[in-house]
Amino acid sequence: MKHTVSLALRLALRELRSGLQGFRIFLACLILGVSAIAVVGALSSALNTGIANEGRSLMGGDVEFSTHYDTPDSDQAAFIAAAGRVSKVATLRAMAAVPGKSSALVEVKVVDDAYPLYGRLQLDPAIPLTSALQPDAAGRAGTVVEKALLARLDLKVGDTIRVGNSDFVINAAIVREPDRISDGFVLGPRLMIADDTLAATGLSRPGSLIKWRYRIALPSPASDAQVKQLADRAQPLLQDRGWQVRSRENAAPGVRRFIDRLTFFLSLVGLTSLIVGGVGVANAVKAFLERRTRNIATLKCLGASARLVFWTYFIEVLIVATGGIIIGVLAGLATPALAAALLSGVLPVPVSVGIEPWPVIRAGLFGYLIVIAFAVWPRARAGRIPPSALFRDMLTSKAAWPGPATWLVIGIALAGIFMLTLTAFPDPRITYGYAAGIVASFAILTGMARLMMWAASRTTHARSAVLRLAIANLHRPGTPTPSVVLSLGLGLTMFVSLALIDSNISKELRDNLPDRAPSFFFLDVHSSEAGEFSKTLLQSGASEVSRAPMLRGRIVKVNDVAASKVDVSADAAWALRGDRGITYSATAPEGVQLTEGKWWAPDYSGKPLVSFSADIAEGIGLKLGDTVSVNVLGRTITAEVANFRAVDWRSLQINFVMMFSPNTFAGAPHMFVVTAQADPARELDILKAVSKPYPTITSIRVRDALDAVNSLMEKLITAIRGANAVTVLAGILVLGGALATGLSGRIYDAVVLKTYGATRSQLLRALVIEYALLGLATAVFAIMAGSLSAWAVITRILGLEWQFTGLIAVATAVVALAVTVAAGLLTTWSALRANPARVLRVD
Amino acid sequence: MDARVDKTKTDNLRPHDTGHGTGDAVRLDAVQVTLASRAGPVEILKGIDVCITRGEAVSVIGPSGSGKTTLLMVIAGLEAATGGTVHVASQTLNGLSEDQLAVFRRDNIGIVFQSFHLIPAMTALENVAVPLELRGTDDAFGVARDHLKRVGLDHRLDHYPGQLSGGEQQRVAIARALAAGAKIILADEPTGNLDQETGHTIMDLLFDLQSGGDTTLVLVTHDPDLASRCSRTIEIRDGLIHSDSATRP
Repeated sequence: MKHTVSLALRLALRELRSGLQGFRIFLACLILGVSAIAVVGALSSALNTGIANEGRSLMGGDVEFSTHYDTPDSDQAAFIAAAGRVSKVATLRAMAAVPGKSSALVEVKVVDDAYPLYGRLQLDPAIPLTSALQPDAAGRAGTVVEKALLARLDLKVGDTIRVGNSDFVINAAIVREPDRISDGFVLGPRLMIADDTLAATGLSRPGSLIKWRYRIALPSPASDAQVKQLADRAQPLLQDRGWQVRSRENAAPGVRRFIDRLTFFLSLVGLTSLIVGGVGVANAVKAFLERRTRNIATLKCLGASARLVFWTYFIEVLIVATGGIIIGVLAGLATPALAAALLSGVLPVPVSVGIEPWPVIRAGLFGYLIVIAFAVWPRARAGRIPPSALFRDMLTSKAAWPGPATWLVIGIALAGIFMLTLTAFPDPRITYGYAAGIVASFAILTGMARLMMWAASRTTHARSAVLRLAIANLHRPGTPTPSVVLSLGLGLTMFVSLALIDSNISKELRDNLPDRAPSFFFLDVHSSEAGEFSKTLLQSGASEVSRAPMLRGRIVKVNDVAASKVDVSADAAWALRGDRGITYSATAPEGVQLTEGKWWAPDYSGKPLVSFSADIAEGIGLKLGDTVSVNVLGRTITAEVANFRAVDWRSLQINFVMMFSPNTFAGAPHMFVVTAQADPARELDILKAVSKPYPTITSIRVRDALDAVNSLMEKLITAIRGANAVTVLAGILVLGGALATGLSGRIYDAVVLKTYGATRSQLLRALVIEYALLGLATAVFAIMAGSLSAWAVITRILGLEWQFTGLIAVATAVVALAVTVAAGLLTTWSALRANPARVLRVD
Repeated sequence: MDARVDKTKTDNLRPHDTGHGTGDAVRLDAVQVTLASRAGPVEILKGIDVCITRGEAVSVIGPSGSGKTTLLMVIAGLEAATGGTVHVASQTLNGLSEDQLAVFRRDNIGIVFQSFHLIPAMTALENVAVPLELRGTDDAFGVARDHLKRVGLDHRLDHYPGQLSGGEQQRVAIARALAAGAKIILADEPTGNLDQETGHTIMDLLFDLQSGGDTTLVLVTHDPDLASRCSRTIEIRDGLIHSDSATRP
């Protein structure tokens, strides 16, 4: 065995002296697939490492305790004070205005002297934050703002800005805010003020939507265990009483979720590209083998065993593959440093520049396993072909079926790919579904190819010679039909799938402003001013003004089970994740549709009741009569589920997961949320009309808010389009390879046919019909399989609403079909142009 | 339909009046073929003048590299003459497009190669039927079957070339050359890849099929015995006609 392998290695190296001709597509498929997986994995890993390394400055502390109700009781206050060095920060949304001119929604951060506990706030001019926020000689408080706000309101450092009831002097612009990302979703630019100036603004009234954050810096250096210990200790006193407890490793959960989702999605595409590339690998190896037929025959005639032949060419393939995999791996290794250098201004989080070994090793392993799984078969068949058959016509020599050892090797490689995939995707169910989809696609496409060949072999009565030629090409010995159907089918499926995902997300972005959506949301409208405010809105041109009481609450228990332990479906998890807006109502809101249960009487005064959104209730597993405990303003209220409502979240009307019976919150301070519709042309006038008399009311233009959401989704779409480009490239490479496999045979056939009178137009038409038949059959499969996989990604993974756009699916398939025929003709063009005399003489 | 369209094209070609009489199957006037090579242009044929009448059986002999096969390729329209004029079957081949030449071959020429040049992915029957299909012959497979029967291969209709012996493959090639009713048969070393006995059988077959009508045979060979079976022998040396038995005193 040792002798065989060493001799095989020598022979393989000798074979390689003739260069890499014939391995180009093999290498391209491998480099593309391995690079895609390595780059995505390394970048994601570098970002997550970056977040982890910078966790405490990104979050502004080792641990953060936050609440919407800033009255910790004495035990809680003592616990917080004893936990470490404390910085108290408040975040809220408000309007910043240049009186008489314009106003803008801002994300206000109220900071104390200890801020920031970690990291450095960079200001322009570079002055200390405490001095920037200090009042000036005239007693006007100072503020620092993001440059975007200066641009939006046409202001500069030194100007005055009004926030709520107070005027602030802008003393500096914020260049970099270390904990900016921990806020999660932001709607406006940052404005920072000192904690002792908040009261005067009038923004902090009972029931105002303010998040209070207590950040703790543990004595340095604090280990992860110490951080975890503090977070655990906080659970009974804070978390179980409606507070949110976050530690530094979870500094940017929203961003991390986004990165993880994107990574998962791109890894999926990368892996599929590599598997499609695997078909290219198999085709290339088969073609390479056919070119080496004489060498193999000669070796065998000279006494080489099947085993030696197998090892010689297997080693040769592995040597070439190693070259391709190294290039892919190097791309992965270089990614973090390149991303840090090129994308530091674009990415929202720091990139760790270190080498990320695991994603890169995994990509390399994927590469080798794909090569083994796809290249062993043709190799093994070569080893088993008798030398006499090799000297005869390859097309008619029936190759022997590979033996059990080959099956074992292929099985091990496939199992390895499956195991690695399990480590690549967070949810094993996705891996199972993905593997089942790939296996089913291979099986169906192979079966389809056989069916086509069978049907073609029985279609002998076509009248036209050209049609008969095209049909015959589909089933003749040595036909590329199986490999073309497989590679084209997989490639087209991915292409259709990504196009449908793209169109669904784009549609979500385009259509998420429903016709009857309000133009504005006004937050923090005090009950005493709600009536007047609504009147002002109507007078300034707004219509359909409606309002609802609004409090913030957090579900802490469901049927006495802690919220964190409730088994909840992915699409309903958000309702349990943080604070939710809640409301109360004596009567069922107009137009509401109860799916189960009854609304309470208008004068109901019994134990608290709650009306639950039907879809979220289903996700949580609630039934009528179940109990839900909600922490509101520091108090935990347990209410019984009285009914379920159908809620159309996309309507953007005032919607709440939970609506309580009014007696639940009797006497609790709260604000109202008001919505209004307006002609887009009048929106700015309305904003101006309300901003002066109501400086403490926060106006959110729905259009602006959606733009902010859309910009995030657009990044996802950009990634999908990038992935689509990779897919198309992989597909074209593989298809080109599949077609090129039989090219020399086609050139020969074309020359003989021309010798006996075939014109180029006849040959061309035969090729077009052949490729169109192949393309048509695979396009039908691709539309079905692509739609199915897109549906799974949209509904199961992205949690969006699915809409099948048949036109997109068909158009994509038709375009791809045209590309296929064109690529086919381009590849075989040389067959049509071949000079008969040259080819006939050579033979 | 496809083939019929092409036939109309050839009809347009037919009126060429070569002015060389109607008895000539092939007439070459000062034909030259010069091919480009890395070492510079190579003159293969240096001025060939030859006239072959209908029904004649002509052998072309000469040493390797003398230009025999090129001469055959020029007559078949597979190689373009770089000088002189080529008249075959009352048509002037100079200046015809590739497709016009293909149609010309389809209607007039049958070729038998040393290496048979059957299409490996087609059965014997399909290989013979192809030129007929390209012509748009109604019963292409029936005619092909008859011709395979004539060459004694009616039991091998569905065999692929790789499943046939060399002699059998050459018989398929002969059936293919004759099936479409070609008036001129060009044979390039048809027995070169066959053993002596099979070679004799093949040549008997070829001469039998040719001698029946006014079919012209041009046979390139190294074999003097084979050459002597033809009514006329042309010897080529270094791209020129060294001797022609028709003009020998």
